[in-house]
This record gives sequence, C-alpha cells and structure tokens, in this order.
Amino acid sequence: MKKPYRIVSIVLLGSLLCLQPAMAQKDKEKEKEKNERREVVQKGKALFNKIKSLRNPLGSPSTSQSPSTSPAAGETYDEGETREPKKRKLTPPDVRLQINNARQAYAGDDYAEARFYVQQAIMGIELEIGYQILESMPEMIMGTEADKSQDEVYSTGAGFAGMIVGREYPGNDGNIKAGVGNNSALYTYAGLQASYDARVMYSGDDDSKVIRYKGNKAYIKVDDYDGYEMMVPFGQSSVFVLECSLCETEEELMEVAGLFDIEKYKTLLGEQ
Amino acid sequence: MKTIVSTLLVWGILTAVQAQDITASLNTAQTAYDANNPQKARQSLQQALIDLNVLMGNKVLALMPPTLGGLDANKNDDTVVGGTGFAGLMVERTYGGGDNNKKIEITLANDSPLMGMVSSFLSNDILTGIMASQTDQKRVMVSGYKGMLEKSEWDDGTVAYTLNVPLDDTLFTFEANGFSSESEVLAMAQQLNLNKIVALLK
Repeated sequence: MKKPYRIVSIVLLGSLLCLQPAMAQKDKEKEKEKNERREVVQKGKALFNKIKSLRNPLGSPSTSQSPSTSPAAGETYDEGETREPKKRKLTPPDVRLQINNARQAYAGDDYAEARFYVQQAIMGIELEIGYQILESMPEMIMGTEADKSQDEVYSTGAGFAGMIVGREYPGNDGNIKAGVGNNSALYTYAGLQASYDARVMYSGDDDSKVIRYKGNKAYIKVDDYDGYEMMVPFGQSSVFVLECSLCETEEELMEVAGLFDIEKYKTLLGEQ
Repeated sequence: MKTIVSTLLVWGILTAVQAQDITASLNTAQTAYDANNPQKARQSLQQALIDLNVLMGNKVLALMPPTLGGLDANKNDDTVVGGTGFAGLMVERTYGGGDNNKKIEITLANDSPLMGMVSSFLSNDILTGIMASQTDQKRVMVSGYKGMLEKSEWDDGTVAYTLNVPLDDTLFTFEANGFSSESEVLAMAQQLNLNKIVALLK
C-alpha cells in the first residue's frame, strides 16, 4: 500500500477506535432509556390487571361488566366434552330507579344506602356510555373481524378502575386491541406516561415518537415482538390506546387509528 | 350559652345547605338523564356522591372520642376525602403527636387496595399461621371484628402497632406510636365503637 493511503487508513482506523467506546456508551444509554420506558408502561399494565383481578377474584363475571360479555367459547366439562357456553346476561342498573332510591334513602337519613344507589346510577350511565363507544368502534379492521364476545365495558361507579371500554380484533398473524379509559387511575397512568414522555423524556429515538393526532398529542412506539402501540391522552382524564401487532408500517397504524373516532368519544364522555 | 346557640345555628345552616345540594344534584341528574344528557347526569351524580361521602365522613368523625389514650384529638387536622375516583371515601383523625412522643392515627378507607391482602390474612388460617410465625403479625378481635395487628420496632427502641380491621368494604386502620403494650393498643381501639361506624357506613 502506498504511504499516503496507509496514513489515511491508520487515521480512519484510529478515529473509529476512539469513537467506538463513546458510541457504545450512547447506544447503551439509549437502550437503558428504552428499557426503562418499556418497564414503566408494563408496570402500569400489570398493576391494572392486578387490580382488575382483585376486584373480581373468582374470575366470575362482575355485575359491573358489560352484559354483552359472554364467556370464551369452549367450556370444558368433566369428561373432556366441549360445549358452547350458554349466553348469560346481567341487566345493567336502571338509572331512573337508582336515582329515585337514592333520593328516598337520603330523605330517610340512610346515607350509606343513598351512596350505594348513587354509585349504581353512575355505573348504569357509564355502561350506557360505554356501549355507545363500542358501537362506534369499527367491526372489521384490515380484514380482521372484531371478537365481540371479548368486548369490555368496565365500570365501578366509583373506585379504582373508573371506566374502561375495550375491543379486540384477533387475527392469525397478530391482534389489534383498542381501548378507551376514563377517570381510571391505572389505565390513565399509561396516558400520563405518554404525555410525560411527550413533554420531557422524548429524545427522538427510532422506536418511539410523539405526533399530533386529530388535535391531540399522541405517543407511538414500536416493538419487534408486540408491534405498534399508540396512546392518545384526551380531555382531562381520558386516554385512547391502540395496540396493533398486525400493522407492518407506521402508515398502517395511522390508517387503523383513523377508524376510531376520538372526537365522538370525547363528546360521549363529556370531555372538553 | 350564646356560643352553643350560634354553633347549633351554624351547624343547622351547613346541614341544610348540604342537604339541599345533594337533593339538588340528584334532581339535576334525573332531569338531565330524562333529557338524554347522560354526561350531565353522570357529573351531577358524581357531585352527589362526593357530598354524600363528605357527610358520612363527618358523621364518622363525630363518633370518635375527643381524647384517646390520654391524647387529645387534633380536630383541626381531621380529613375527609369524598372522591369518586381512586380512593372513594377516606376519613383520617390523629391524636397526640407534636412534642409528644405518643401519636395515634386512625384511617377509614373505603375500597382500599389493602383490603384484599388483609382479608386473605384473616380468612386463611394457614396464611395466618405462616405470617404469625415469620413476622410480628397476628390475628386479634376488636369489638367482635377480626383484625390484623402488626408490631414494628425501630432502631431507637420506639414501638409502633398497626391494626387493620376490614369493615364490609371499608378498611379501618389504627396506628399507635410510642405505646409499648399490645393490650393498651387494643383497649384504645375498642373505645372507637366500630359497631356504630359500621352501621353508618354499611
């Protein structure tokens, strides 16, 4: 090799060797930050699931759940026989009756009873709002039909969970899950995290970013295993979450997100 | 005499205002619901729930004694949180503290996240046995209710007792710092008239 080329090669090699530890350090920090963020979101989800299981420890259908929710197909019986489960339904609380009962209990100085009926009335209204949100969600996305037996409208009337509405679109190569949370301390946690990332932590890495989506700030991220996820905190206490492992590109994710009418959810939930 | 009369008058006015507020919220909710405005109905019901929680919380505080274990109640620090969100109804009262090395903290939390843990401890004999043998926790009875008593000892020798009693969907927590005898702590908890509190919150 000629002398000038040799010198240039040595200089390049030297610079590369000098820069490598700094680059490795930067990568490490980036990876650490990603892991921390992923951990926070996962903790939020785990907490939410834990609380849900605590509120319904036997795994039986809760009175606060959607009456349209039915058990997953294929109950197994003693002799290995598999039958379709019966469609069992619970009626949601009658709001007018509950308000009347609350008024009467309150007039009779029975505050605990009045409180119970008020909670039931709130639950009844939240279930109604939840069904309306579900109705406005698409029935099919990317050729994948919604599994309505997994539709979820969860309301406690008061308490930890607030109100959660969710729908799943299970496909052969992946799933799509959409959810709306309102006044839910744990579900909103995910939204708050997104909003926090949007304002403070976002550093422009290549697997998460913040965008403006229909007038709201939205946080999207991608994971090799779970696919795309989008969180849109809206109003004062609500969040829309979309998980799409079927989506191959960011554009596809945005197309799917466009099928959900956040403005309508805002109106239905009485958000500004 | 004048003081008593004016206090009663103020109390009467406040109660009337609160009563009117709750009734008004319920009426507004009904009207809004009938007018197909579930958002407004929900908001009014949430307000009614907050007001009811505050009313009940104040009634619970009124049932508590003015002194306990020789310590005066810090009535100015009384807290009643009547939310509809994370915590629901929460009532707090403290006795003593400040320069005194003895302090009592009483909390009643409706829909408490600790409820499941305490209830499992109390309803499962095997778990109770394991916990009792490995930690300073044991099962006790207070006013006929099962409770979980835990003893903690700090490095400076201070002893603190925490008593948790599930009362329907409300968790009663009694923390006594600076008391060295378990029987003393249980006797104080006994004075709190849990039966009346349960009857109020049930």
